[in-house]
Amino acid sequence: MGDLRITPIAPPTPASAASTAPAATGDTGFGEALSRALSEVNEMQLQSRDAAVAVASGKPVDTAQMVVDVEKANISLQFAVQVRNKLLEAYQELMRMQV
Amino acid sequence: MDIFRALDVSASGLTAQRARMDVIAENIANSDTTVTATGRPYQRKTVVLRANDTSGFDAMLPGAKAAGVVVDGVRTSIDPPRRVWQPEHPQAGADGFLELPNVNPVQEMTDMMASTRAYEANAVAFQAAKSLGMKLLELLR
Amino acid sequence: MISLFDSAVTALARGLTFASQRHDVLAQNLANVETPGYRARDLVRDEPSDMAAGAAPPLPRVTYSADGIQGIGGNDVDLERQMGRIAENTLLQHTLVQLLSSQFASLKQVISGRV
Repeated sequence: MGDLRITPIAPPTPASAASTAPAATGDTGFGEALSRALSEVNEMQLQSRDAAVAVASGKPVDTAQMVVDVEKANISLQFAVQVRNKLLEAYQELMRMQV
Repeated sequence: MDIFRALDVSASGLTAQRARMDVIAENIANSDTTVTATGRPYQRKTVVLRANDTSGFDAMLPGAKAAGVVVDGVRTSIDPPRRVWQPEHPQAGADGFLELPNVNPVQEMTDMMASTRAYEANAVAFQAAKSLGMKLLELLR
Repeated sequence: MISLFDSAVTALARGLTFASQRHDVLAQNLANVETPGYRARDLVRDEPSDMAAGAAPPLPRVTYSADGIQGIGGNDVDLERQMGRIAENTLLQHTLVQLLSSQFASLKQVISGRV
């Protein structure tokens, strides 16, 4: 039996979640990257909500900008949901592994 | 419900304009009728319209009854008929003047155009209300 | 029970109600475009200082929209301008319905996890 080295399995890191979070702070732990990405999604949701409320209250609104904001928020939310699903799958896969 | 009331209002507009068009058509058709059932020449008819506001201004807020426009009836003009010198006509009076209806075709055509325009505008408003109702229902899908 | 629906949904619903009431008033103008003595109206709402604050906004009020042109018999409905207002109002209604629909769709997406 040769030398069997067992290295710990690194958790899967979705590439884009890491790229949306700026690495300038130097702290690029996965948890940090994820929470930064989620707060960006939240920002976009708030912006889109503000645009919707402005239209509803009759304030003059830049329709093109509003449409872009709403779409950005939708797409980033969908993306976050997919990331969550993949993470869940990976976790379940891990749990299923036999030691 | 708001949606149905908007439809009622526009429908009343359509009815009123249709009544107007009918009366205008009758005027034009009878523009040369020298003798009617009353023995006199045809007199121009107009439609009397009235805005159906149930209780003044605040009727527009929700909870008020359906509004719109109401046709109050058809009024016959009491203006004197046109008099034309035509002694050879069998219905000419003793003085040789023939009494013709006081219908001015140009005015009737102008009224007809205005009425058509108003009819189309009401039809557009009707469509807009209907399409909003459909879109709201789609939300439930 | 946590509130699933934030103030945006309330604001959108209120906006829709206002827009459909305004359509009623404008449709009344169109129905009376040939009625003698009829004055054109419009529905206006006062700008609330903070729409999403949660307090009930002031009720919209009906005003005479002075179109200026006096037609036959004192009727002052300017047909083209009324059509313009109806078109603008219809566009607003459609926009609000779309926004509402997309709010609900987002919520459903997140809940079901299915995109």
